[in-house]
Amino acid sequence: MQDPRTRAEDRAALLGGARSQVVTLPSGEATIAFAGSESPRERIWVQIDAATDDTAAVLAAWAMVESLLSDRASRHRASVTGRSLVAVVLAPPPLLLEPRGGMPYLDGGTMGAHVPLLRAVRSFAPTLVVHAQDWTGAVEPRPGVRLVESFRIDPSVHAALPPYGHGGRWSAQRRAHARLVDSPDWQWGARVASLSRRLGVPLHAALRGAERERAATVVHELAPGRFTPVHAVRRLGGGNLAELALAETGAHGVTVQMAGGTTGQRASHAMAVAEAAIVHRLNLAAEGVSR
Amino acid sequence: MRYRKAADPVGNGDLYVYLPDALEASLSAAAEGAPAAREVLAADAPPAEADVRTLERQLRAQWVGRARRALGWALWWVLVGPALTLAWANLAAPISRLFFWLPPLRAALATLGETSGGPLLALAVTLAPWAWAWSRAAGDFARARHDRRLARAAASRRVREAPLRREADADLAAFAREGDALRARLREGAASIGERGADGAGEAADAARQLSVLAARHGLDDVAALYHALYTRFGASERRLSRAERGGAGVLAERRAGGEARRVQREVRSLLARFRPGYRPPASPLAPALGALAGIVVLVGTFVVTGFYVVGSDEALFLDSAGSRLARAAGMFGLPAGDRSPAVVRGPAMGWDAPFPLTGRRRLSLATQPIVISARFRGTAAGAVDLIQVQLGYQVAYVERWAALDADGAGAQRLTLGLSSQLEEYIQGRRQEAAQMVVAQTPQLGNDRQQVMARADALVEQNLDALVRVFIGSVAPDVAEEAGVQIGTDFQARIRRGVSMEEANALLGE
Repeated sequence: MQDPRTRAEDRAALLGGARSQVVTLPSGEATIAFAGSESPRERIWVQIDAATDDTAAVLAAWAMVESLLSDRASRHRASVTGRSLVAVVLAPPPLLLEPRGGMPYLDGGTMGAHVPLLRAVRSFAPTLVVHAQDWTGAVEPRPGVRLVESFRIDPSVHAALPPYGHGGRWSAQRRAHARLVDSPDWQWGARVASLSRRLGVPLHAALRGAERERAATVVHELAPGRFTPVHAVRRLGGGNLAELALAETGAHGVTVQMAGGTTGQRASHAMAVAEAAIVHRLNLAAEGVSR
Repeated sequence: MRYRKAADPVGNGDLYVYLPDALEASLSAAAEGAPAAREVLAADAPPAEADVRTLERQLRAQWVGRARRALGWALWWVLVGPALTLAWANLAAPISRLFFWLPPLRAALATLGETSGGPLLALAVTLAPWAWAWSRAAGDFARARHDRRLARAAASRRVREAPLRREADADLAAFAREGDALRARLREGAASIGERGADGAGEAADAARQLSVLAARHGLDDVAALYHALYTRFGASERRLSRAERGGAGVLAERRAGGEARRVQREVRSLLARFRPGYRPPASPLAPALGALAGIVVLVGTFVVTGFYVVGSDEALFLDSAGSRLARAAGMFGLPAGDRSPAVVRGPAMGWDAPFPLTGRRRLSLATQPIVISARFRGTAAGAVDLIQVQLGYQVAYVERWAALDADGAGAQRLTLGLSSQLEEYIQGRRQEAAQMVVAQTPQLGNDRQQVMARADALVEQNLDALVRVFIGSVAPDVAEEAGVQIGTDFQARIRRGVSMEEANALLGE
C-alpha cells in the first residue's frame, strides 16, 4: 500500500469506469472519485488526510469509494447516490507534518488544503465537507476522536458565545449559546456526534482545566468532543479545509481529528463519522424512523 | 459600503442587503479617516439612488436609536446599582433566617460576611451588587458611544457625498436566475407553516439553506448570510413544531402550530425589515429619559421600602443616625461632638427612618438574657486558679442608659466584666472575713496561715449559694442600675477548679 506505483494501479482498478479527476499536488497525484447523481440535492466532499502514515486514510477512502460504486446490497447507498453527488479524495502519500505540541484544533490549511485541491473544491461547490485528519505519529497519541465543525454563525451571536459551557445565567453569552443550540446546524452536529458514538467512535470527553483554557483561545467547545472556531479565528479565515470551503462555497463542514489507536480503528472512525454526516445531511435517519 | 438589491425572500418588493458588521467596520474606518466608497449592485438595471439614500437615513436612525437605548440602559444601571446595594444590605438578614439549619452560614449572611472576614469583607459584600451594576453601566455607555460614533460617521458629509457606484452585478443576476425555483419553494413553505406545521417549516428551512449555499457559491456573502439567518429561524421553528406535533394532534396542537407560524413570521419580518427602504427603526429620543426615570423610581422605591421598620413587643431598636456616627467619629479625634447616643424605639412600634447602612440599626431584645460572671477564688499549684462562675439573667430596664453602654454592641460584655470584678471583690472580702472568724474560733491555728485559709475557703464553699444570693441582692443592683438593666434572682453558681491563669484573666478582661 505504500508503493505509489502499485497504488496508482490499484486505484485505477478500483475506480473502473467511474468518473474521476486527477489533481497534481506537491507530494504526488490525488484522484478525486465521483459517485452519485448528476443533478444532486447535496454535493458532498469527503477527504481523508494523514500527517505521517496514511495507511488508515487510504483504507478508509478506498472503502468509501468501494461502498459507493459496488453492487453489494447496502442500506443507504441507493439513497445517497440518488440524491447526492459524493466526491471522495484518494490522496497521495502525505508530506510529513510535525506540529508543535498536541493535535492542533485548526491546522491552518496545512493538511489537505493545497491550491489545486482547493480549486477542485471550488469547482465542485460542495454543500457538505467531511475532512478526516489522522495525526498519528506526528503528535502525542490521545485516544479518541474530536469533531471541529464549520458552519455559518450570525456574527453577533458568534462574538457573544461563551468560550465553553453555557455562559452565566441572564448573560448575553447564555442567550447567544441558546440561539446557537436552537439553530439547525448545531442540531445537525449533535445528531452526527450521537450517531458516531453509536457507531463506536470514541469522541473526546469534555475538556477540563488548563486544556480547556488553552483551547478556548481557538475554538468554542460546543459539547463534549465538538468544537467550532472562535469568531476572531473565523474572521481571520483559513482555519482548515472545511473553514476554507465554508468561506468559498457556504458548505457546512466537519473535520474529524484522530490520533492513536490501531490503523483499522482510525479508518473505521473516519468512515463512521462520514456515514453519520451523510445520513443526517440527507435525513436518512429520520426516514428510517418514520418507516 | 456595499448594498445589494435582491428580491424579498418571503414577501413582495426588494431588499437592499448588506453585512451589518462589515458596514459598521467600514464606517468606523471612515470615521478614522479612511476613504469612503459606496456601491449598490443589482441583478438587472442599476437601482435608484433615492432608495439608497433612504436606506442610509434608516441606518443612521437605527444607530441613533441603538445609542439612545444603550444610554437609557446605562442610566438605569447607574441608578439601580445603589438600589441593589441598599436592598441587599437590608434583605441579607431576613434571607439569612432560611439558613437556620447552618448557624455559621446564617451568621455570615446576616452580617454580610463580617463574622468571616471582618469589616473589609462586609464592605466588599455590601458593595458587590453596586459594582456589578456599574460594570454593566460602563458596558452600556461604551455601546452608546460606539453607536453614536457610527451614526455621526454615517451623517458626515464625507460619507454622504461619497460617490455612489450603481451597477448591474452578473453574480447577483445568476443567483436570481438559478434561485428562482428555490425562492418560490421558500415562500410556499413559509406561508404554509400554519397548515402544514413542521413540514412547512422544514421545507422553508431547506430552501433557505440551499439558497444560502447558492449565494455563497456566487460570492454573495451578504445575501448568503441573509438566507442563512432565514434557514436558522425556519429550522428552529421546524424543531419546535416537531416537538409539539409529537405531543399529539388536536385543538391545542393546532393552536400551537398557529402560534409558532405567527412567531416565525414575526421573527422573519423583523429580520428583513432593516433591509427594506422605508422601514422606521425604533429610535425614541425618550429612551435615555425613560431609563433614568425607571432607575430613579427603583432607587427611591428601594430607599422608601427598606427604610420601614417594625419593632416587636419584647424588643427595642437603636437607630444610629449618620449624624450621631459622624459626631462619634469626630469625638475620637478630639473634635467637639454633640449628642452621640443613638435614638431608641421601644416596641411594639413601627416607623420609617433612612435605611441601613445610612442609619445604623440594631435590635435589642428586652427579654431576659443569660450571662456568666466569673471571679478568682483562690490560687492553686502551678499557676492555676479555682474560679467561681455564676450564671444569671439580666433584662434591660432603662433602654436609654443601656443604649449608651451598648452603643458599639459590646454592652453585654461590659456588664459581664463589671459584675465579675464586683463579684471577685465581694468573694475575696467574704474570704477574709471567714479567715478572721476561723482564727477567732480556733486561736491555736493563728500561726498557721495555710490552715486558716483552707478552713475559710471551706466555709465560703459551703455557703457559696447564700453568698451569691446576697451579692445579687445587694451588690449587683448598683452595677446593673448604672448599666440600665435588672438582674434576675435565679442563678446557678459553681466552682471550676484548676483553671489556667490565662483563661481566668481573659474571663475577667485582664
